[in-house]
Amino acid sequence: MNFFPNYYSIEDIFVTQEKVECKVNTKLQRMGFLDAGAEGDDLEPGRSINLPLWYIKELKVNNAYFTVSVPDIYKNVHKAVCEAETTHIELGRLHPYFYEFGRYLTPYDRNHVIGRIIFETMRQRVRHLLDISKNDGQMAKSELRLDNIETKLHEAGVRTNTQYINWLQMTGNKILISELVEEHQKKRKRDRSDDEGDSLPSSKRVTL
Amino acid sequence: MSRENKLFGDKAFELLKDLERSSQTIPAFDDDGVRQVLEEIKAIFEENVAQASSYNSSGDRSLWPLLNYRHAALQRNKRCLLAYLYERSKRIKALRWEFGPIIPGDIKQALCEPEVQFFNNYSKSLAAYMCIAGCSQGQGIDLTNNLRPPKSLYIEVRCMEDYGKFELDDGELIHLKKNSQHYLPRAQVESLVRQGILQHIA
Repeated sequence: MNFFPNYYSIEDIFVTQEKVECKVNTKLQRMGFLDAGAEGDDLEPGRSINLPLWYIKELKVNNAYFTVSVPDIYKNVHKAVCEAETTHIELGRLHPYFYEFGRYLTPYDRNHVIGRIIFETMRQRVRHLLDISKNDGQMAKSELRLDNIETKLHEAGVRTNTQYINWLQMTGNKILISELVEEHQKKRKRDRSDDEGDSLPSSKRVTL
Repeated sequence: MSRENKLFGDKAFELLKDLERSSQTIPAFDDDGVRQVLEEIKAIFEENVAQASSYNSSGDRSLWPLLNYRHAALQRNKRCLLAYLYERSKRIKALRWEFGPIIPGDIKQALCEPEVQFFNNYSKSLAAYMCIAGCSQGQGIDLTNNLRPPKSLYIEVRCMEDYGKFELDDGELIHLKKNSQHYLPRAQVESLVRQGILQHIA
């Protein structure tokens, strides 16, 4: 979760890898490789191509080469926002990085609605998010319901809730096995049973 | 320019995707992937240099967007590579705190030589810091101990695997055999619990 993503932020790299549809405005020499359907070496004006966000980001908003067209998903959400029914939207299906992607697209939106849309969507959904977090993570874990930020918020909510309950019941005093070690042990066990499944004497077996 | 390298930057992104997919512990260092990305960067750079010099002599701006695009791709590759290394070093640091000063063999195999070096140096710095941190008491403080406030001096533990002999501070020798139960000083066995050799039962 990163509102001011740093250079090393993997999430931000994931977001900027997304493709945006652009219209070509001028003839661009030898850039035909960007267009899968192009015949010649050059990029012809009037064609629509998908460009990665990391390139668009480097250009000026009103550059002479490309016009960015805003994806439909934000237009579709608009109606739901107006009717205050965003909790039913399967945001993760629309786009795994709905909010962060939207943030990058706001400058290209000539109607200036995206910013409002993502803000309103979050505002309407965050209450619902709180409710399902209290529900001990048992809500039919449909991954498509939530976008990346919401999933993280949900995880944090569930974790905080468990910690709070543990504290109330005074069960949090035990020393626990470290999470990394536990995961590693599980993986080793899996590998071991795989090895036995192969019935080959494996030299890979690791001793501590 | 060949058509198959398409948009650039895909290989570098692949590296990060594989790293993300592998949850917490560390996947093997992708030597091959890193080399391919470096080669791509080099190729882009050389093409750009060639073009930039021809631009300088002719002043023809028509290839400017292409130059621009390739430069962005180069920067992108660099960012992906650095993020890949940085994320791995973050996980290696976590290893020191969770597993203690010795990395299990199978994890060590996943690291490349400089990363093992990095782990050793980090471990050394941490040890040095822990020595200084407890200086006023005349001895070092183990910061990986007492992560939660202790409620009792002794705890009851069950042994999860055959560990062998374990010597307490007062010289007493204990045989840690699988499924045996012991009542031991908390401070001295905490790290064994964290490493999954003992289980805290009461």
